[in-house]
This record gives sequence, structure tokens and C-alpha cells, in this order.
Amino acid sequence: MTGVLRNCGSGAFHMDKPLGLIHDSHIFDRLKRNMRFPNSLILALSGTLLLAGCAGNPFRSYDAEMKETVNQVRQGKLDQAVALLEKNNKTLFSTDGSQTKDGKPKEQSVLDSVNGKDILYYFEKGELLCLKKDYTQSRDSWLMADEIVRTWEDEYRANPTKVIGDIGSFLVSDRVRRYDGQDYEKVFLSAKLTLDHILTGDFDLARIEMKKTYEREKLIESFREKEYDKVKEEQEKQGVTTNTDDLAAKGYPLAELDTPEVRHLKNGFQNAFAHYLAGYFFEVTGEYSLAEPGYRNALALQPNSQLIKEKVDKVGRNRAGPNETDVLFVVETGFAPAWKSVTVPLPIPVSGRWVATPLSFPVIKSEGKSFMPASLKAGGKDLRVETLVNVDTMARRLLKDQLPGIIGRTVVRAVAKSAVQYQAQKQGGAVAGLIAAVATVATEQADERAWRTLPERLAVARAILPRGTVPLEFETGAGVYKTEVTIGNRVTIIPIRLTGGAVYVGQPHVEAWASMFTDEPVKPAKRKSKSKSRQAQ
Amino acid sequence: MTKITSTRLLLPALLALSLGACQTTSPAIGDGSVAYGDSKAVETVTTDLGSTDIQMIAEKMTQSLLQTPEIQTAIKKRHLLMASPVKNKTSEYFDTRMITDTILTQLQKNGVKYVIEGEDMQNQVDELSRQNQSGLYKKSKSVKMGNMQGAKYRLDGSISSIIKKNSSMKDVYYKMNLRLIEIESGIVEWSDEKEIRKSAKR
Amino acid sequence: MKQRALTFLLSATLLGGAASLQAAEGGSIASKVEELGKMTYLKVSDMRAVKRDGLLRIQVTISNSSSDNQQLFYRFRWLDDDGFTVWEEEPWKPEVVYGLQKKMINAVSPSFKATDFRLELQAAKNDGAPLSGGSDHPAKNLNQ
Repeated sequence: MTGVLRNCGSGAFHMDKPLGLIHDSHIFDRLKRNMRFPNSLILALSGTLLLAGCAGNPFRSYDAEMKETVNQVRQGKLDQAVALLEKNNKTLFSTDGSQTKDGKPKEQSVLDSVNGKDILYYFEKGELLCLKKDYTQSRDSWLMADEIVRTWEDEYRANPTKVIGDIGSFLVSDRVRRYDGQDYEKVFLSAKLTLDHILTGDFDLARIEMKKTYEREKLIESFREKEYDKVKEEQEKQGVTTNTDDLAAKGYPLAELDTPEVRHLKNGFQNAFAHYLAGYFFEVTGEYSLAEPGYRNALALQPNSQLIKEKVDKVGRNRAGPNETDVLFVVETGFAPAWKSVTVPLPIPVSGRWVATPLSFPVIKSEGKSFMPASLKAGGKDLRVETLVNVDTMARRLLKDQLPGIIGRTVVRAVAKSAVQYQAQKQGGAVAGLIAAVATVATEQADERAWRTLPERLAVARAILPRGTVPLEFETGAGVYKTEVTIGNRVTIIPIRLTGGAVYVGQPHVEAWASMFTDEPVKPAKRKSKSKSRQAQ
Repeated sequence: MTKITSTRLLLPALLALSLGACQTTSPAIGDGSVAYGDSKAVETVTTDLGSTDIQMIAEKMTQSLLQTPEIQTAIKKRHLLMASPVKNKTSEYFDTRMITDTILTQLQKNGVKYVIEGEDMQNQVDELSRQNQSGLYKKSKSVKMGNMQGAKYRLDGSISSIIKKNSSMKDVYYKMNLRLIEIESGIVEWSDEKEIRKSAKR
Repeated sequence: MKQRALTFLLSATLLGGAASLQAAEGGSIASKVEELGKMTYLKVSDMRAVKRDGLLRIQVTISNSSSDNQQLFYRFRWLDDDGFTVWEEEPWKPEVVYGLQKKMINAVSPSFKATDFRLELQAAKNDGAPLSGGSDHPAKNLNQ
């Protein structure tokens, strides 16, 4: 028994980790008040709690926080949404100091947060600002998030076995592990950054970012492959078998993760839009040898897309003439699904007996199917809208692929926890046993963190349109939305977001530099687009 | 012989110099975590197209092209060459101009003249029109319009890949195909291939 | 084989026909080959050079005396009559020589100015240190 305990300690005691906020420290206090409690146990539990402090408060319900923000976005109240986000992420003390609270030097290799804010804050803020058409600020926010992802990448590149090892040996709940973004979020971040660069007119940075998207995908791929091997090895070592069917038999909604659409996806992170975007960008800038792999990769991810098929092997055939622009409309609808936890009792061996133990596992909670218009009308042309990315399906696929690993980790952790509980009951009597049980439940919540303002689905439409101000209209699910957009650059992307309420139509900057891009010099836009976010009837 | 004696003389001198200089100064700044490497070294970091692949493809193509009578005639008669964009049929974001640019540069060192195209062409047109139409330049000293020359031959080709993967290894096969086409007749005067196989353990 | 006793004056002899250099002669092949470190199993067993259409053509046979595969790196250096290099440094080229195989390596000078050459050879298992920058052979094995 003690052997297990010690093992638990080495896994959970990351005292050198940076300390963050501990809101729900009452459990800790209660434990301390109970002086009969074995010291080793307090230490073990407090270690868990302290670790929990890193990267924001793990006990906060991210989903509940974001629900309100999402609602405000739906109502077109972007300023309030930003204010709320800021309020929810107020730092009481910075976690970025070089020392932890106990004065120990902080581990510098990993970046939990930038300026005391975690990656999710920057994800959501970037999205909100992008909807506000504040592309520069949005880009800056996403660059902060990107910094966190990049440190993760660097750490992985420098020492893959360590990063993967962390996953296998963590004995605390998934939700208190450092959150460096779901795989699809990391890739999406890069794609969104590319969009911001294009919208602000930084084409060179967009070009760099696009190559980075591809590299990031490759890195995640290699990471997941290695992780899979590691989890398998770890489970063999612990003698734990993980079968997702066992979980389903105990009431886990596995069927939701095993739909045809989910199986149809190649994996849970590769983003067809990111590749299509690269195809579009490099085709318009005349770099066909870079556009070709873009379309080809996009087609591999979305084999049925007519829009992509039209382009593969035909790059550069259909070019914009003088005073025309090849315009890409990016239509995003709805919101990314929430990650929630469900509790499933699984039998765990405790001193030779099998005890049904409540364990929590993540599930994907859809935000509801959003309305996606079948076509757009721009400049008098009817344009087919084709969905390239379904974040909901991607999330399900990601979870499906990771579920065996999650089960393995949860069960291994539960075995160790049962030992804690058993020990407490034996040494401390019934009260300590009860308290330990409370702590177990409190720490056992599946990871609910996710980038929630991401769209549910992302679609594109494309057309060669004359430069100047062009009327744009589309169905919103609650009436027709009409607006105007100004087209002036050789590379022009018009972002559209339908939220099931407010409609947001973006407008890229059309500046004097438009003439940099050859053809005829373009008159600078006389006025900013009239399109404002407003409620669709 | 003279060579040898001179090195013999030089060596002790150099040694003396380096000994004297050692420990005090070095032309390098930094803590040694960044170093310059050999740009010609064989790069086997990943199975992706890399520097060695580009160099080997370009070298093979140049060597092969130089042997063709058409190129040798082109050198003598100043026939012009151009490179069309090489099709990238792989799934890698790889700019094929890196290969064609190197081939053109190496051919040029042997006396082959080539004309620019694509993006570079736009700069050329811009400059021509600026000198002629902006009214800012002295007529007698500015270049004339209508004197650009068209190429007689063009290079065209494609690069494709086959990737095979299993649980223990990844194998990538690249094939670059290049052709020399006489523009007027459309006849392929020369073509060659370079194959590369790379494999990696997972 | 005819030009057995020929001293390797390429500029003069090449016009006459193929110059074959045999290992037995020692001196002539050795004068063209630069081994970066001693190669235990790989050996240049034959070398031919001819000038055709103004370009120097080389054919080298590498023999592997081991029954294991050997990784070889090679490149040519192109020189003029006076021993000056006429072309930039070539990239190192990797080549696998199977166990007991005789591998042919063909090369054509990249420039019309080349009249002489050197062949640089390096086998991965050598103990020589041909390149600066930490790596002991031309392969930059950083990962994997």
C-alpha cells in the first residue's frame, strides 16, 4: 500500500511548478483542521491542490463562464463580451514571476501563461476582437496564445520523451494539467492568425504563418503517434486494459463519438480550411508550386468538396483580370462545442477487492446545429457555400482518438486514489475516509476547457469580382442579411460569422499599399464598409 | 615543388600566429549554442524535401542538360532559355523555384542566357514603363520599349512523391521530372528524372 | 587498360580517349581520391575519365569488401589545369553500397572549364572528422 502512496506522491508532487490561484481552497482548509489526519495524506492532497493552481484555477467551471460570453456574442454585444472575459480572467497576482510563492525558482522551460493569462483567454479574446474588426489587436492576442503553443512545440522538439512521459505518469485529473490547447485549436489558431495577417494586409507574415500551420500539423501528428505508443506501454506496465466498450456499457455515450462523420475524418486536428487558404493565397500571389499542395492536402481531408476539386491540378487556370479580384468568403457559423464531464462508475481494484468507483470522463456537448447558408449573393453572382471544417466533428474525433489514453490515465489514477482512500479509512477512521472521498470527487472532474468562441462550422465561397464596393447578401436562418463590402486588394478575404443571432461581416483593410500588388493601382477605399454587426430580423 | 615548400614555410608561421591568438580573441560571438554548419552537408533531419534533395536534383539536372546538343548550341548562338513553374504534385509546401533557380544559375555560369518570367517579370515591366512613361527620365539615356526578347526554349516539369507508412517506418519516394521544350514547335528536346528515396524509423 | 603507364595529365591524355586508372598503380587513383579518414571496407577499385563535348566525364567503381551495407558520402571537386577550383563546392551525396557490391558512380563536370578533378570520399563508419561544426561525417543526424 505504501508503495502505491509513494508512487502517488512522485506523480502528484510538482512543487516546483508555478503557483497560481486557488479559489476553492476550502477542502484544503478542512483537511488541515482535521489534525487526526495522517500527515502524509495531507501532503499528498495538498500537493495535488497546489499543482492544481498552475495555469489558472482548475476548479473554475470554464463552461459556465463562457456560456454568458457566447450569449453576448449572439446578441451582438461584443464590448460586453470582451469586458466579461476580462473580468473572468482578472489576475490577483501574476503567475509570471521568476519565483513561485515559496520562493523556489520557477521552472522556466514551460510557459503556462503570458502576463498571467492562460491560452484560452487569448484564444477567446482574439476571436472577439476579430469579430469587432479590430484585426491588429486580435492578431496580438492570438500571437500571445501562439507563444504558449510554440513553447509547447519547442519543448516537445527538444525532449519528446519528457513531454510524452508527463502524459503517461500524471496522477492528477486531466483538468489540472497544463492546458496548451486541444490539437484542433492549435491548428485553428495558426489558420486564424493567417486570416488576421491577410485582413491587416501583412501578406509576408501570412505566408510564414501558413507554412507554420503545416509544420504544426506534422508536429502534432508525430506527437500523437508517440503518445499512443507511450500510453500503450504504460498501461501494459500497470496491467490496465482499456476498452472503450466497457465504458459504453457503464453508460458513457460512446455512440456520439462514433458517428459516420467522425469516422470519416482523417484525424482530429488537420484543418481542410487552413490548406485551402494556403491554396487560395499562393494561387492569387502566383506561387503555384505552393498552391498545389494546399489544394491537394485540403482535398485529402475533404474528398467530396467540389470547390477543392475544381482547383486541384487546375491552379492558375481561372485568374482575375485587371481590376478584378479573386475573393474568398469565409463563412463561420455557430460556436464550438463544450467539453463536459460525465461520471461513470468503473470497478477499481482496492486491496484485492473490486470497488465500483465513480470516475469522470469528458463528453462533447454540442451547441446545437447552426444555420449555414447554401449560397451567397455577391456582386450579382450566386456563390455556392461549401463547408470545409466542422469543429464539432473534429472535437468528437479528437476525443474518440484520445479516449483509450484518457481511460488508461483515469484508471491508473483511480487505483492510486483508492489506495489513498483505503489508507485514510484504516488510519484516520471514518471521518478522514469521508473527507478523502470528497477530495477524490472534487479533483475528479474531466477537463472542460476548450476554445468556445470558435465556430461550429467553417465554410468558404469563392468568386472573381470587380474591385470596388460590392453588394453582399445571404440567408441567416432568420431572414436575409444585406450589406456591402469593399474589394480592393489582389488577396481579399471577407469573413462572415453567423451566430444564430447577430451577424458579423468583416472588412479587410484596403489601403494605399494595395498598389504594391501589381496590376492597376487601386484607389484607396473612400469609406470604410457600412456593414456593421446588427441583429438579423 | 614550390607549392610544398611554401606550405612548409607557412605552417609554422600559421601555428605561431594561432597560438599567439588563442584564448584571447575569436571572430565568433555567442555562447556556442548556435553554430554555422556546412551548407553542403547531407541533411537527414526529416523525410521532407530538404537542402540535400534540392542540391542533388539541381546538380543532376544541370549536368544532364549541359550534355545536350541543344544547350551547347544555345550557348554558342545565344538562344534564350526560360523556366516555367515546375508543378508541385507532392503534399509538401515546397517552392519548386528553389530548384529551377539553381539550375538556371548553374547553366548561366556556363554561358547559357535565360529570361525571367512570373513574378520577376512584373518588376521588369514596371521598370520599363517607369523609364518610358513616367516622364522623369532623360529620353536619350533611358531604355527603349519593345526590345525584350522571347525565349527559344523553356524548362518545364513536375515533382511528385509517394509516401508509405506503417507502425515502424516511413518511406518517401520523390521523383523530379524536367523537360526542355522548344517553344515554337512544342518538341521536347531533352528530359531527365531524378529519384530520391528517404526512409525514417518511427 | 592500354594507358597503364600513363601519368595522369588529364588535359593532354583525355583528348586521346578514356583514361583508366587501376588500383594496382596506386599512385594514379590515389592522386585523385581524397579519403576523409581511413575507409575500412570501401575502396575505389576502378576510375575512368574522359573529356567529351568539352565536359569531363568520370566513372568510379566503389567496392565493398564487407558483407554489410556501407553508407558512403562522396562529392567531386572540379579543377582547371592550374589546380584552381572552377566550380563551387558540390553537395555531399549519400550512397548506399550493399554488401560485397561494386557500385558505379558517374559524374559529368558541371562546367566546361573543368580539366581535372578530385573525388572526396567518406564512409559513415570512418573515424576521420572531415567537417567542422561537431558532426563527424557529412550527415547531419539531428533527430530520428
